[in-house]
Amino acid sequence: MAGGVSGAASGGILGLVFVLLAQQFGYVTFATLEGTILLLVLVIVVFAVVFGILGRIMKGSALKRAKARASPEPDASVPPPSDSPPPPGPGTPPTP
Amino acid sequence: MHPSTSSFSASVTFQGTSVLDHSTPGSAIQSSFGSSFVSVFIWNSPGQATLITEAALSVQFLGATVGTTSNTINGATPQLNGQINLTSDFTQDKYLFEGVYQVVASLFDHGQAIYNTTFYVWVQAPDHFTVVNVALILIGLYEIWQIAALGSVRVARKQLGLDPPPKKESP
Repeated sequence: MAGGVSGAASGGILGLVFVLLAQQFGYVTFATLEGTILLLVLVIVVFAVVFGILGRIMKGSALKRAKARASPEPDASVPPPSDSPPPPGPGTPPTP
Repeated sequence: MHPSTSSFSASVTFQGTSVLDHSTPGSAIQSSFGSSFVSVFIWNSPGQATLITEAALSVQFLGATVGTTSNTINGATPQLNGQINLTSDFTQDKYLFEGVYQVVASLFDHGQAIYNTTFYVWVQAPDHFTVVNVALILIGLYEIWQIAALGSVRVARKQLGLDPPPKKESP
């Protein structure tokens, strides 16, 4: 949830920056107030929705990985407790 | 004396180009703030003498006038035709901003507009290096970094109240 909100907020600002840069580079003209507001709202909403979904997915994935790493991992240096006999050494004839 | 609509005509050139062919953003006149530029207003009023006291260029942004440059004729008298040259200098804005802007060219008789025409100018900065562009790019990069941080396991562990992962020791 929090990831979605953060992503949407950042996405909205990114949308605003995108439109302003487009104006600076000559692709958009801010001639009329109505047209400019319409364009800004449209782009900001699209960016906010897209990056909100992306942020939510990324945050969920990060939390899942963090929880997985928090669980105790088996130590590779200690042999697992098992009832099976130890592995045969070198030169041991194979059991039939 | 104000001219009748049928007898008065005027034309404007911006940096030697007629503004009539540049009435849409797609056909904007390419310009820069690197040096001063000259606009020439030529008018004819064959039916009756017309008093023109001022020529002006107004830059429009978000539907409002954000900048005006004008040339006022002192002691103007009614004439059948005339020409006004307007030299404008925006070199102080050379590294501030750029973009496509709507410009209104007007002829006035004591503050009352007699002639208006609209055209577009594409102001370009050298290598797009302007204060506004740099600031916008920095803000954009910061927001991208913020979004990327949402996928950080280190931040997620901190939020879960877990210790940060141990650093890998070199062999």
